Amino acid sequence: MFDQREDVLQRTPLDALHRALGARMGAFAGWSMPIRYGAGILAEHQHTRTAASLFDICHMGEIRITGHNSVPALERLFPRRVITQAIGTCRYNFLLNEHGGILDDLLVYRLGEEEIFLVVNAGTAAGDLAWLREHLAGKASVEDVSQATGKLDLQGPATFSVLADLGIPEGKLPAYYRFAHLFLGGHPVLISRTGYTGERGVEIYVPVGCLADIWHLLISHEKVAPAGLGARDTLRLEVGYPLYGHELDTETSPVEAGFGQLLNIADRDFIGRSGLLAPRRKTLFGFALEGRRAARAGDTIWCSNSAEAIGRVTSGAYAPSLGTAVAMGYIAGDVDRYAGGVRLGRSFESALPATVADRPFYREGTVRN
Amino acid sequence: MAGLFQAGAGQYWVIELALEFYCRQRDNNMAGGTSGMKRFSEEHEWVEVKGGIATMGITTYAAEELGDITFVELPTVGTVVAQGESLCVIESVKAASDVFSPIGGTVKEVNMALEDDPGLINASAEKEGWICKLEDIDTGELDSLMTESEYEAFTEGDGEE
Repeated sequence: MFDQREDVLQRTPLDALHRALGARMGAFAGWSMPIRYGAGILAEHQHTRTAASLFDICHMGEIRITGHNSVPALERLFPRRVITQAIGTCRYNFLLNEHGGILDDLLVYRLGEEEIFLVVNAGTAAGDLAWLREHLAGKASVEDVSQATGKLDLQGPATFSVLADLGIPEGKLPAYYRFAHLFLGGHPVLISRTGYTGERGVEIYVPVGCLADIWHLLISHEKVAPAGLGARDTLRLEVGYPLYGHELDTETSPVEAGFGQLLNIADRDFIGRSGLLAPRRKTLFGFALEGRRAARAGDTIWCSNSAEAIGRVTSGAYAPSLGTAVAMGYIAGDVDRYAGGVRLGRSFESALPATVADRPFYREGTVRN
Repeated sequence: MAGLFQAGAGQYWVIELALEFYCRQRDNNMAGGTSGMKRFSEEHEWVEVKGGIATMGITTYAAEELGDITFVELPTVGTVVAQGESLCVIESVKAASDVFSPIGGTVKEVNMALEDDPGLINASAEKEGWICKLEDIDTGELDSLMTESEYEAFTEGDGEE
């Protein structure tokens, strides 16, 4: 799907800095991104859970939607309401196709009465933009501000003390899932109490011209270390967060992915609504494996007793904070619960025993504190 | 050396012994030697032979490429492998990789330390992180492997990413 050749990959404005820090770069969604730095994935993961890690997330897309009556028009594209979303808050939402399949998962920021800021995945940004332009034509202004907007994630229990040292006292920070316009190092930024690691943290949106300054400011703090996409993946997996392209895709509805409770389906219409009311084809489960050995995306889920293939693993890895491996995947059919033993692997003979486990797998995360 | 041969008859054996030793060492060094020297495979394994036993593991370069190793599926003692045959699997955070035996033989001993501390390979891939020892080997198979300097040149050729 993506041309992953080195010479056509996009680079973030901080690319040279990562290489100078000794980052091991890799291709992700059409971008050349730091997968890990010298410390390595395990160390970067641990640092995020004990101190604070800084992630370059500039590859994600940002879209600004404005205009008179833009919000009611936009709301018809989302299974969760936007009109009732208070100004100053963030809401996790989905863009759906006509069948209720997920085009993208994203965060909606209510900047104003008639001003919405969407933060979308790198790999789906172009498709999202086209979809929004098609469905909001004549109803709202859709502006791609990705090129002008940098994004840095600062995540870890030390986040508040780091920001306090850098001029933003804890009292000034927004509450969980809220955002604020603040100054960092003299630059205007948008900071939200959101993130993808399960730890206390913020996502910082920066005008691209100030990005290097802010990166340097944060990275020079003694508690802050850089972390790459490798650690980002093990961190989110441990707390059971879905990743587009793995747990979420156009053949999956948000109900099947376990988000039915969040949606506002009754008494309103939106694209994909009928798909959400159709019978479930599969259900997302979490799995705990016995040892360090991991099951990986694409592995089959086998029923231990009958040796029958019952589903597919969508993500799996060794979980550094647990010392054992975890996985997520879909069991086919209208299965609400699954009490039986399973095995995860390419073939039944080589598959690893696992049990269904509630998410988050890792429960000591400081995200809401 | 000529003057040495003018000593008395009874002293010749010492000189002959010394000469023989010198010649054997010279031959060893010219052939590359098999005693205690490391050889490297294109699949990034190393092997060192001492007293008919081959110790093997993956190279520091390979460990760097893999990143943090989270699991090593040690081979079973008694397993017979051919040169180049899959010997075991190493898992890192991102993926599982096959390890191929750089030399044929029978697995005599495995490094149990790797069961509890697979990261030992990252810390010391070519020493403490050895994977297994093989017996019933054919040292002739070492000829098809690279010397340390050849392996260094081989890995330098790989791209940075």
